[in-house]
Amino acid sequence: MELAFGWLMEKAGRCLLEKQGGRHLTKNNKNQMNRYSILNPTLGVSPWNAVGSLTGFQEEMNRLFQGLAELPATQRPALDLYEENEVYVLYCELPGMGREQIDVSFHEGILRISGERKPLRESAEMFRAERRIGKFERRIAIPGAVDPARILATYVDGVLKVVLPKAESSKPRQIPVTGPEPS
Amino acid sequence: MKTSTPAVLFPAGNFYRTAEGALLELELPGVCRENLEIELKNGRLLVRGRRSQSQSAGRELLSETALGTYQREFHVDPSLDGDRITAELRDGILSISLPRRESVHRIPVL
Repeated sequence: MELAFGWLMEKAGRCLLEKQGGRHLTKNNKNQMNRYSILNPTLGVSPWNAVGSLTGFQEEMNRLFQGLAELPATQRPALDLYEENEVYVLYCELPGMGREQIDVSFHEGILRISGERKPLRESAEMFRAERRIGKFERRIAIPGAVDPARILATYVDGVLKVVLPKAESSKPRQIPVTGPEPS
Repeated sequence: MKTSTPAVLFPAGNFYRTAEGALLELELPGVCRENLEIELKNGRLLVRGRRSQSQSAGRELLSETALGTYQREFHVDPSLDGDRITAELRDGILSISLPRRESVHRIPVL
């Protein structure tokens, strides 16, 4: 079974499910149409309401779209964090950003990554949007002391990498064992 | 190091109509050009990108990114010119442009 949309058709059998604040956006592929249905238990339309008046329908639509506008504004991009002997290494997925559009700051043991995802193309007519846009933010507590002046952030292939060198005090070190010299 | 079984990841995309034809934008964070494969075969466009996993020999404290291979397949309408498809990978976004076939066939007047 294939889904047709515009000039491109996509192999079916996949379901896009995005859960946002209890609201589910699901691809409705039952009737071979590429359509999104918004399923929300709190917005359920009873059969009696549905056959009511057109104004009732209008109200229902208004509520529906209002609900969409109220989706949580701030996204939380995925992170990986590793602890090595000398450094902490953090990876964050941020496809399609400019280097200058990503804010990385460190304050009192908390690393903060923030910015805003903007559409790449404004002029072209979009007929299907899956990529998320809007503000994103992550704050993560780094478990050990680090040297803020030596933190290094790089952005390659849509992935932000932050290397946080450990402060001397939190590095593992050998403790010499003292005692009487073996005779 | 991540040990979970590599999975097939479904990249999110935006799809546009342009003056020239169609354009699609796929999110492939962590995929470099060498690990990307785009194939057009029998009117099917297959995009496959292996992501280089987060590299560290250290202790994993947090692991949220999915591990696996991005894969998505499209049927390309015959009105689009398969020979002139172009693709560009930048900052984890793959942009594929599919121009429409020239509908007007110009006949030179001799």
